[in-house]
Amino acid sequence: MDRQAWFAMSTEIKNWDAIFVGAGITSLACAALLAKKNPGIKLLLVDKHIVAGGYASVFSRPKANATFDCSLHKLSGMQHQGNLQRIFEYLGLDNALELVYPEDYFCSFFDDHSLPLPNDANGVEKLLCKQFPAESKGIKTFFEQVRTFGRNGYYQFQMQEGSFEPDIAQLRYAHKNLKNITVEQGLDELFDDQKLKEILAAPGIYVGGYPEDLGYLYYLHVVYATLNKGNAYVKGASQNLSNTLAKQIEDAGGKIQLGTKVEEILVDDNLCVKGIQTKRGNFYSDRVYVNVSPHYAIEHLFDEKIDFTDIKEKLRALKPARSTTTVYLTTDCSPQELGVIHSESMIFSSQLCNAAVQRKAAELNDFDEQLSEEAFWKHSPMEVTNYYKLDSAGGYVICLNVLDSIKHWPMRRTQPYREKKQRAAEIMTQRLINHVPQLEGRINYSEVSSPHTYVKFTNNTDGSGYGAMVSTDLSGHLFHRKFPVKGVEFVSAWVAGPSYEAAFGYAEMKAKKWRAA
Amino acid sequence: MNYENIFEASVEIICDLKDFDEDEVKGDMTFEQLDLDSMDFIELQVVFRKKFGVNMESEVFADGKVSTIDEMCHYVLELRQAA
Ligand SMILES: Cc1cc2nc3c(=O)[nH]c(=O)nc-3n(C[C@H](O)[C@H](O)[C@H](O)COP(=O)(O)OP(=O)(O)OC[C@H]3O[C@@H](n4cnc5c(N)ncnc54)[C@H](O)[C@@H]3O)c2cc1C
Repeated sequence: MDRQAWFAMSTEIKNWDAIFVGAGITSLACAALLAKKNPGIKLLLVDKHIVAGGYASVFSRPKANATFDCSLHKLSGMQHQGNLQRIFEYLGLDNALELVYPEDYFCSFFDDHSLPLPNDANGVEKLLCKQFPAESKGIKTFFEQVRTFGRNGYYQFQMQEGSFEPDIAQLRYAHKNLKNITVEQGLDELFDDQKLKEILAAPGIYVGGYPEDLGYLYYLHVVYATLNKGNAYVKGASQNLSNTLAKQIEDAGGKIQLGTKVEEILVDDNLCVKGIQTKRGNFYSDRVYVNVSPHYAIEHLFDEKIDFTDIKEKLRALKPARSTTTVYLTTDCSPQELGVIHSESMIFSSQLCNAAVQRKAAELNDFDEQLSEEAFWKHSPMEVTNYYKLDSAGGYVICLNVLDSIKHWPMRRTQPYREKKQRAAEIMTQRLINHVPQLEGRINYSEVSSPHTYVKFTNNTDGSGYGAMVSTDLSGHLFHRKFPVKGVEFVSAWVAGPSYEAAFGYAEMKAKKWRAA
Repeated sequence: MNYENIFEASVEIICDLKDFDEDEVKGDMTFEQLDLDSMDFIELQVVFRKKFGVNMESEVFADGKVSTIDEMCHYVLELRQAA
């Protein structure tokens, strides 16, 4: 069907069963699950971008012969009894996609040595006990906490529906002792060695938080999900996952309308949702799933006459997770040949103890530019992914990520912004070269994404790629309770929590409620 | 099992979750006043299932049908009676 005919048809269909504002991974997963469970259901996903997936997408630079992934696309929960593995099987994605299971969890790089961590929890525990014998008691306690409290958190949706029965005493203990402390405090209670603490806190980059940001209890579940429940990457990168889901939705009669910004979510006089407005016409449904940031949605997508006082108040407490500054590189031959031998590495600063202190100082000084660059770019852990090792089809690609703040970035398209991007590329690339000297002179393409780039492409608050920060204060996380407009639901990292696995888990829970709603 | 039993149990759990004293918790208090967060709700669901054998749906909390301790107790009682 040509474009015009489709538009004519879609305005004729007054009643889509549901419309999704945004086609990020949570929307795609939810729609694919709804389509599978409810044959014949009419679903419309509308996204302003030209490809589906939100962060779960790629962009190409043909001249550099490279395809870059916007997020890391490391999938957690990909082993037996992993939540994501189970949903993949249900949707047939395990057969439709080729998965790559990396050898290492990641390799830690310090000034004087490197330490690859095996990709299984027992192996990591043993290795760390051997490397840090004075800390072995704390290491055992940490991994025991991951196995019990982390596991309880991991199965929270099952816990809610009654298919996973936790031990109440464990829940009570965690509530009293672990819920109200940060990762920094939790690790300080167990360990003295700063290197060890940095290694154990590094997976915080998967969920957008430094040790001083993230709640410890929540974090135990992140380690459980990514390490105990296995991790994998998708061949063809995250775009392949997004496109496969998009195809399933369209094969089941749904429609994904790309390149179409939602201008307004339409609401009737009784405060019931009735559809969306776009430049290409209005589309109608009594159920609208909001995949975009809730701050953005309330500010820009609803009629200003609707009273959102309560919601706005709650949203003030919903703090975004950290944003990211990413340097996308290509090399002139295989990164492995040049010494980047691991699929993922974490590079730690020589000033280990200072990183958190510097971040706090930067924040206290209103994100002073120099302090912030020192803190976030030079001294915070930097994550390095060798994409070529995971999937050679994307080119000789390496990506460098640090968690960052939008607050020290000038506006886009200004000279200071361009200069700052240049500085970010130089500083972060040099950090990698310091550890892998053979890379010197072998990098032939480099590009930077700043927190502003992320805002531009996704409209996420402050460029957060991970939705809300899961800190010790969860008061904002129920912002959608008693939402004043009937028929509006939120499906995104802002309600599910960061990561693809959380997106699929939340989507599954939403899809199960379809009839009940 | 009557309303009073359920109310007593609710007060006990809430005091435990939120460090209130028992005489501070009143039936007409809203969840906002009690400062319950998303993890607290999950714990409430788990404890009520174990204690009273009922499955409280998250939706009734989300859409505001159940907003106070009293309403929660009535909801649990209804679920018990329907079982
Ligand atoms: C650098 C980075 C690395 C990451 N690494 C990992 C990882 O390795 N593993 C992992 O599990 N998770 C990772 N994450 C997290 C994961 O990518 C996110 O949690 C997830 O992709 C968020 O999905 P979402 O559904 O919330 O939607 P988003 O991806 O935020 O998508 C929202 C969509 O809404 C669209 N939109 C916005 N406004 C409008 C409008 N007005 N009209 C129409 N459409 C609109 C946008 O175009 C976008 O497509 C990473 C994130 C980042 C940033």
